[in-house]
Amino acid sequence: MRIIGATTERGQVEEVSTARERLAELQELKVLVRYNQANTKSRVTELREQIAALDNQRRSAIEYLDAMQQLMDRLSREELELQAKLEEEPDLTSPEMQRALAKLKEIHGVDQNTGDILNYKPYQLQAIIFILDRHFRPRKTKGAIEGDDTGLGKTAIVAGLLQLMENEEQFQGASN
Amino acid sequence: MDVLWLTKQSLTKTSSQECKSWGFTMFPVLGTSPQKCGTFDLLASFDQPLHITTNYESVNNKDFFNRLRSRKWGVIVIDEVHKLKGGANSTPTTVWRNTADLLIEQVTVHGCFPVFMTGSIVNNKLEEIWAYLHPLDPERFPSLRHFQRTFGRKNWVTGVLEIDQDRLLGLLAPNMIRRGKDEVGEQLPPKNYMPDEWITLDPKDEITELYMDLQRKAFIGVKKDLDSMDDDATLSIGNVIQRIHYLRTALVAPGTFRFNEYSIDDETGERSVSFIERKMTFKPPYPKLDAVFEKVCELRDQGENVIVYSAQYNRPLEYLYDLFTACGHSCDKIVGGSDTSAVQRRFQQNETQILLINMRTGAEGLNLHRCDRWPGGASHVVFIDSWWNPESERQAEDRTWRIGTNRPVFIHRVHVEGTIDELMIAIKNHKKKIASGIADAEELRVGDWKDLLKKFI
Repeated sequence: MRIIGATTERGQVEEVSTARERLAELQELKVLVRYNQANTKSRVTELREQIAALDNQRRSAIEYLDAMQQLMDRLSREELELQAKLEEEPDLTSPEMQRALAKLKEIHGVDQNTGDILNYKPYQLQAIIFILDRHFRPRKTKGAIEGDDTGLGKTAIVAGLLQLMENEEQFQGASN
Repeated sequence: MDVLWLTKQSLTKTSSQECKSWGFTMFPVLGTSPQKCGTFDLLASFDQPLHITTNYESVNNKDFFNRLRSRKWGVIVIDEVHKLKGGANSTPTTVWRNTADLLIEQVTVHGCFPVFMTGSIVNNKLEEIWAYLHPLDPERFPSLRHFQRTFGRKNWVTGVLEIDQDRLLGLLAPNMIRRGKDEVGEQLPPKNYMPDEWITLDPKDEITELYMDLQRKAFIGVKKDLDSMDDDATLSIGNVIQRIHYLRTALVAPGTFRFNEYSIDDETGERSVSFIERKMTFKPPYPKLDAVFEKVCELRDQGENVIVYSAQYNRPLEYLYDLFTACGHSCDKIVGGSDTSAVQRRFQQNETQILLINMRTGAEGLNLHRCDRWPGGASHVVFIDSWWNPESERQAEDRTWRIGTNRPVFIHRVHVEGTIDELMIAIKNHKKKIASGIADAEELRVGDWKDLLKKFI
């Protein structure tokens, strides 16, 4: 019985020792796994941060591209508008316009200090030149609309305009 | 070079005179149609270019119209071209049709150069622009429908077709010059809107009782309609406008007032379909006109000259004219048939100090401001009543606020509490709210009318 008992005790001691070794191994493994876990987590966080940073960079790049595109569009539009405006600008160098302006100066006189045509304010002169130019160089739609605000002297502008148009017609008649 | 200048009848003479003062002679062709034809023939018989100014309606006379068509006009000027809006009506007016025919023929066949003048591109609705763009360029603006289709932009919230102004302005830009006073660098003295003066009707006055009774009856049917109305229901706006017109007349036009009265069922409160023509006599005192009289006298005591506008009625002007004259004030008036040019000259020369004007005749084309060129003119304007359209009132105000004005301008308005004046102000304010970049007013839509009336009634 003792032998048996002793064998059994020895066997139990061995078992316990094996179990302890196994436990130690497991604990080591656990530490290792925990370490790996922590390591992987920080790596994931790091990668996520990198992704976010790259995403921000991507967005900024897209926004920049959009802004550039808009700028290009605006520049192209402005270029077109300026071209159109240049085409619409009255041609002050044409002989008929030169004659008209000389006639206006002859009728109304010139301010010796400023060089302005007397009786007509600069904006009125601008309107006369605008409409005269439409007469001398007709656009697709013929004619002109004097749509200035009330009280800016539309009648005076048109009266001056008619004088110059008649003068030009007389000149053309005489030269023919 | 032959020049034809079309303008309002009341401005035929003044426009010619102004042209002459700027060195270009225009002959006014006035009078009845045979007289106009006679003047035309006489002027045409001279071996000189023909420069004539005449009124828009002249084209309605066949003989005169044929004479106009027989010439080769170098330039046709149309003053206040927004008046040529009759083409946007469902049935275009004869004046518009004939003017359009004349212009199109002269431009396409004889190479005439048209010049349009206007201080307010549009008065009511944007479609009216088409009425004068069509004769200017029938190829680009062939029909009103085409215009709406081309420049229309559906507002998906309201379901209304709106005009694409940017596109339209872009197309007109090569032919149109349009600047405001601030844009041209002209520093005019300020235009000041004085606080509106509100007066109350004395309940003891007979006129108060008569007016309030009329106002109560006028909107009985409308109130019932509005209460039962859902959002899609339609409202007879013509009917409402007629009632508003009655009340406006009753408030400012003294004497006998005629109107259609509908009987009211005592039990149901409903209006009868048929009506009887009634007349009501308003006897003095006239609270509103008396308040205007006092306001003008107060200004005169301060040495100020004053212009008084009535939106469309002559009777209040006649009443005030008699009152001012009896009090020793030197007074003049511009109503239909007045010699506008002579009245303008007298006011400019300070021969008269009070000028009473019917807005329909004298809101445009007159120079009545204080300036260095003449001793008279006014810097105070008093409105007796309101017109539907703020743009027309602005035109009237600006007779005193023009280039050369050397004193601040003051605008006064007199209203009566609890009357149709309140609704008229609400309508005008609403029109101002929906003001757009190209114009200062747009037509009121049915829904707007409902909202405004619900608040008033």
